[in-house]
Amino acid sequence: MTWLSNGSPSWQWFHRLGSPRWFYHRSGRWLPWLSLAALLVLLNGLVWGLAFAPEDAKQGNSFRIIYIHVPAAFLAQSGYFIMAIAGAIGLIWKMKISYMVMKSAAPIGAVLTFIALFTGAVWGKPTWGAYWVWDARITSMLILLFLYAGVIALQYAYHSVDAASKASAILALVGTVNIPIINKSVDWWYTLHQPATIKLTSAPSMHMDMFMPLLVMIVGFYLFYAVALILHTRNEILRRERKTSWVRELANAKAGR
Amino acid sequence: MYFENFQALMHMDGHGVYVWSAVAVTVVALLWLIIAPLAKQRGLLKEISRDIQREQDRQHATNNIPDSVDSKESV
Amino acid sequence: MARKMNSGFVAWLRRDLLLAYRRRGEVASPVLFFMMVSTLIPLGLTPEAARLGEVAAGMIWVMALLATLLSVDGMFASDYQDGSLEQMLITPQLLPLPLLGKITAHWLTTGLPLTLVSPLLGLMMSLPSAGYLPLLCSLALGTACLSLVGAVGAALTVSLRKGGLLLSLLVMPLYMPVIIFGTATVSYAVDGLNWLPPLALLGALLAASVALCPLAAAGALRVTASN
Repeated sequence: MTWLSNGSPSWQWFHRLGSPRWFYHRSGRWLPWLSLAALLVLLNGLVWGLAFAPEDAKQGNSFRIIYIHVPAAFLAQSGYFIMAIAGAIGLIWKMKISYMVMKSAAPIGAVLTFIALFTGAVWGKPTWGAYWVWDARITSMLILLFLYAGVIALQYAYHSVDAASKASAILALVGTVNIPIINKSVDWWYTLHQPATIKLTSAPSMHMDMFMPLLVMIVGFYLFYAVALILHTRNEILRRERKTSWVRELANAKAGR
Repeated sequence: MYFENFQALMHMDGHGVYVWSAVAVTVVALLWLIIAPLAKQRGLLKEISRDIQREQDRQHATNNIPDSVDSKESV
Repeated sequence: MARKMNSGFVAWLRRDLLLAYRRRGEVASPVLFFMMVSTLIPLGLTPEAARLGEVAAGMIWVMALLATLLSVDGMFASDYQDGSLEQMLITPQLLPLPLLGKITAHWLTTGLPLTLVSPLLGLMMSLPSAGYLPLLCSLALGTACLSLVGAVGAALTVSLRKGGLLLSLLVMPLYMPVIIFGTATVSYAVDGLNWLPPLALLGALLAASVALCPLAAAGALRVTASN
C-alpha cells in the first residue's frame, strides 16, 4: 500500500481536498482574489449590458433584463447539478466536505432561481403585458425552485447530520435525473398550448454586440457562485468541525486569546 | 454609451422601471448571499470561543476541588 | 438464484395484498377522497356541462395525483413501526425486488381502483365520449409512475414523525411530467388527434421509473430506516 501513502501526485489533491481543514485554509487564501475577479467581471458586464449594448428591435430596452435573467437561470440549473454531483461524491467516496458543499449549494441555488423568476416576471410585463405567463422557461424555473425547496426541507428535517446529508444527496440525484425530463415535458406542453409568442431569449440570432456582454455576465455569475459557495461551505465546516482542535485554535485566535 | 445622457439611461424609453427594479432586486439578493455567511461566520467563531472559555472555567473549578481531579475532566 | 430473487418480489407483493385485504376500509379511502373532491369541482366552478367537460380531464388527473399522494405516505410507515422493514433490509435478497413487490401492491390497491372509477367521474364531469378510453389507459400507466416515484419520497421520509407534508413537497415536482403527458393523452383524444404518442411517452416514463425508482428507494431506506 505504499503507493497510496507516498502517492501519485495527481490524486493527492483529491485526498487533500477532502480534508475540511485543508480546504478551509486554502480557500481563505483564494477568496479575496476570487471575490475581486467576480466583482470586476460582474460590474463590467452589467455596465456594458445596461448602458452600452444596443437595444433589441422588437422588445426595446426591456430586453436588457436578459443580462441578469439568463445568467441567473443558467447558474440556477447548473447549481442543481453541482449540488447533485457533490452529493454523489459524498455517497460514493464518503468525503465529508462534499456533503458540506452540497448543503451550501442548496440555498444559493434557490436564491438564484428566485432571481431568475423575479426578473422573468418583471420582463414579462412590458413584453407580454402580464407579470406571470405560463411560459415554458419560467414554469421550468418554478419547478426547479420547488426541487430546491425539497432538498432544503429534507436537509433540515433530520437531526442526524449523517442521515440528512445522505437523504438529501439521494433526493438531489433523483431530481437530477428528472430535470431534463421535466424541462422537455414542459417545453412540449407549452408548444401544445401556446404555439407563437415572443420567446424570452433568442440567443442564436443575437447580435454580437448584445451577445458579448451576456457572455461576460455568465462568467461573472459563475465566479460569484464560486465565492458564495466557498463562503457558505466554510461556515458549514466551522459548524461541523467545531470540536476539532484546529477550529478551536482558530476561534481563540479570532477572539484574541 | 448607447444612451445620450444619464436621464435617458434611467428612463430607457419607459422600460427603465422594469430594468432597474430587476437589477436592484438582483443586487440585493446577491449581496445577501455574501453578507449573510460572513456575518454568520463571525457569530460562529464567537460562539465557539465562548464555549471554549466556559469549558476552561469549568475545568478550573473542578481542578480546585482535589478529589475530582482525575477522570472527570475529560467529560 | 433467480428463484430466490423472484420470491422476494412475490412474497412481499402477496403479503401487502393480504394486509390490504384485511384493512379494506383504509384501502377504500383514496377512492372515496377521489370521489368527494370531484363533487367539489362543480360546486366551486360551474355546473354547466360544456365548461366542466373542458376541464374534466385535467381535474380528474389532479385529483388522482392527490389521492395517490395521500396514500403513498403509508407505504412504509407500518412496516417501519412494527420492525418488518428492518427485517427486509437485512435479508439476503436484492432489496429493490421486494420493494418493487410492495410498490406493485400499492398500485394494485390505490392506482388501479382510481383508474377503474375514473370513467364514473368522467361521466359526472361530462367528459366528451372520445376521452374515456384514453383516460383509462393514461391513468393506468400514470398512477403506476406515481406509486413508483412516491415510493422514493416515502423511503426518504419514513423515519420522520411529520413526514407526510414533507413527502408531498419532495415528490410533487417530480410528478409534473406525469400529469403533463397524462392530461395530454386525454385532450389529444378529445380534440380528435392521435392520442398514442403522449401515451407512449407516459409508457416510457413508466419504464424508466420501474428501472430506477426501486433502486433509489432501496438506497434511501438504507440511509433513513436505520436512523
